[in-house]
Amino acid sequence: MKIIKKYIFLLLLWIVMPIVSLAQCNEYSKKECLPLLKPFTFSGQLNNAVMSQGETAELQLTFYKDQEYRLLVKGEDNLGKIQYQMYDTDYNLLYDSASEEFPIFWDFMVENTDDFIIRVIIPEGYSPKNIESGCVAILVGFRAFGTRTFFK
Amino acid sequence: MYKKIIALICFLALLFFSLMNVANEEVVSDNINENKISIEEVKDVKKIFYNVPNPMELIGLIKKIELVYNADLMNPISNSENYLSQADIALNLGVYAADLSYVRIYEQYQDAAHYLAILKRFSRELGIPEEEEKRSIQMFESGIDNRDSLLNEISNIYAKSDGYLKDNDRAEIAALIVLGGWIETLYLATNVLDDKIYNKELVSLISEQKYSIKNLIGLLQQFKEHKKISEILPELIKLDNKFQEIEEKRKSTRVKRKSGKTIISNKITLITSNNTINEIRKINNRIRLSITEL
Repeated sequence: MKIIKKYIFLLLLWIVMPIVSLAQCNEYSKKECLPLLKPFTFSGQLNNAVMSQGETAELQLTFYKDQEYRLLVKGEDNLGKIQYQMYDTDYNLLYDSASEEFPIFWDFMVENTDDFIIRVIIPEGYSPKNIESGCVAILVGFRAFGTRTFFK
Repeated sequence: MYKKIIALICFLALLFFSLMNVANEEVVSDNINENKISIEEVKDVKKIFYNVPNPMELIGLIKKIELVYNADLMNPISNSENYLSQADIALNLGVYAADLSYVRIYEQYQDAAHYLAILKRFSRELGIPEEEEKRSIQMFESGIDNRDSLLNEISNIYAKSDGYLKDNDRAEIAALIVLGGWIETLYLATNVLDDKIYNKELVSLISEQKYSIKNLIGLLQQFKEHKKISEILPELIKLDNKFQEIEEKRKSTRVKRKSGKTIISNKITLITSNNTINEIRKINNRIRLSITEL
């Protein structure tokens, strides 16, 4: 009977863990990352995930002209320096954080409204036997800038 | 007996694991179709997020042209009593958030109080804990009288709803809020224009939604089994088809720096006929009606 209880406990733990991790990641994004978007206004959508060393995530979104944007990519310390890149929809590389010593955020504007792809790359770990995992947040802030904007 | 129970547990575990894999594969294949990237590249991508601009960002871009504030365009406050299901409440939370953003740019703070009260009620009805939005309401009641404070408040409600719902494994409800906000924003933008009023900047802003609608559809397709989403998706695809009729001319993109700012220099010209705008308005009005008039 004890063995059955143990198996049931492990199964429940296995099902519940990802949900708990997601909640922890949202908490991490809200507490550790959102404040870094200031003075930009948060776009409202939390993008975060538990990622492991060597993994990649992508974010597809529209940036508007006459807005200034802050892209913020931050992960837990154990993941190392996180690299992020911005591509147009034909996958032409426009920006690579590795070329600027991996800043946590990047401020930019677009001359014309368009879709873009943000790729986030977690570097490989030193040892393939010991792969680290942790929360990664990808957040976008905006603020008005330019002639079309009502708010100056 | 014990062996059978253990076998059952193993079977359930395997079933759960295989379902998780199927869900991941669906997201990845959506990306292959939309971006035409190689299979090798897609294999490396663990997770794809679709982001859609929120109403505050979009309506903030509507320049204050010579148009008077038109309260009739907004979803009436009295309609808020009609929404009972979680899906309808979420959709209309997005709708009212867009209306509040519209109220904000015209500085109609009396109306803002009513709309903010609805957002508060809807947040509560979606199960978002009181303390999550109490602070913003208190700030409003103690006298928000400028656009920036109101922008922060709407943004807070929007962000906290999104965070709380995703925390609690209800991402499809968060997606419905985004959908409602996007539809209402397009409704407001297309309906302030009529045959007598033509504004080049506003037409341009409407046309630019040909990009964001792709991401909206990508977001919703992750939850296409949801009843409400499955009802609206075909209409959204019709709307997308109409948006794709907008002619686009583009030149190569480069990155430059100007006055200390990084600028993505992308030359794009959109050519939109009046007929296309009218068709977009018609389809979107139909979707909006299905969301607000129950």
